[in-house]
Amino acid sequence: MTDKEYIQAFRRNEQSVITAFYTQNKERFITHIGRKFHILDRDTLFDVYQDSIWRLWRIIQQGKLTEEKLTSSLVAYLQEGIGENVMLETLRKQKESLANDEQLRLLEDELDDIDDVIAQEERIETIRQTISNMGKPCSPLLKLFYWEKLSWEVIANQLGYSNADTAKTQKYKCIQKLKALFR
Amino acid sequence: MKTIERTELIDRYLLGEATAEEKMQVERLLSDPELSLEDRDKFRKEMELQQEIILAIQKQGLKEMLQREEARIRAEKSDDEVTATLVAPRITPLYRRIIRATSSTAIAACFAYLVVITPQVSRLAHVSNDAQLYASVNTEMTDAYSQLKGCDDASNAILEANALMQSGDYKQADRVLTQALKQMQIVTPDNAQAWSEKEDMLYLRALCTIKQHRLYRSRHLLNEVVNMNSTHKDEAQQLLNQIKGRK
Repeated sequence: MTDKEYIQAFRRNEQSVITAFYTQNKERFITHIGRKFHILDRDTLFDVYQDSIWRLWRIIQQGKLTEEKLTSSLVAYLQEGIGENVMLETLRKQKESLANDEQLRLLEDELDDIDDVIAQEERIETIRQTISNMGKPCSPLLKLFYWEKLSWEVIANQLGYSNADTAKTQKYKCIQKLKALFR
Repeated sequence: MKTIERTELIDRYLLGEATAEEKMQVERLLSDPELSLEDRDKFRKEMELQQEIILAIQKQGLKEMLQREEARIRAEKSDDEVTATLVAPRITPLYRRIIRATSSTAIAACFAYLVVITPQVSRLAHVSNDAQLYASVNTEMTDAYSQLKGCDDASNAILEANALMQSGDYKQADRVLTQALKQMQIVTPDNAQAWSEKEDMLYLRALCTIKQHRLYRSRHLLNEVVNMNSTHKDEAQQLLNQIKGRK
């Protein structure tokens, strides 16, 4: 598949293509970031990779990255444009545990610029964990609507609601609940 | 505007599904100077929060999808490792067993030739008019040859299948073994060597079918090996337990 086709698939949220892209580029990404930042911990690199895929998905969905705007290969963009920043954010969060002060000092300038990004991502992550712990009916209902993008008729049918309007009202209640928690 | 309507409007705007009129409505709620600064700020904050909630749900969706993919990769890897650990230790001993079995057959054949056949041929030389003895010698030679040939066919099939399995061609290895098993005549436990070869071939076929994810066939073959109650019984039972319930 070409980069253009991958971008289109990400935009359309074609899950089979996204997972194939994820699997194909995982080892290459982990090796690149591991070498560049001298990180050996595979779990950290793995988290950075999953987070980078999330950022790529989000950037494409929001229209910030299109076929026309892509100046390098999509994999290079994922590694250098996104992955290295995500790694820097991770280092920023873990800076107390960084043994090499000199390495941290060299990164400080870059790290200052990404504080805002970290703050927003941390907020999204907190909400994500809350949704994940909400369970039924909110968690599956919200996922089917906002992630799977299914119609209300299909959602009502899948989750056993009497009709689309009942399911829609329940979704509204879940959103209000979350808004009350994070307002 | 009711809260539920406002939430729906923000949803459509953020998901790119709003009409031109709805987009204008949102812009107005965000920046119309006729509205109080407090109201505009309240709407902006509500919209930002709703966007974060939507992003969090989508992040959860993507994360679950990637975790499922990771689980699939791990399961595939684990299947390979299970088969590799069970095949690897068997390949060498099996190989040795074949060489040992072939050597023993060769020794037995030589012994038969020296002790049984040669004296009889010698006797033949002296008793050239003994037609009955001629027939008897011929029968013994033919039997020995058939036995050796039969042994070679099975051993060759096992060797060939082993080589194919090591190169990853499980489909062809399975074909070779199936063919060899078809050519085998009815084997009973009394014929220890043939019994052992049949068991080896069934066991190898089971491994090949596991590698090809033909688990229904694998179960059938492994059950047959377990029922034969010989060398591979424990390993076959272990494999049966491991593939239990899998499709």
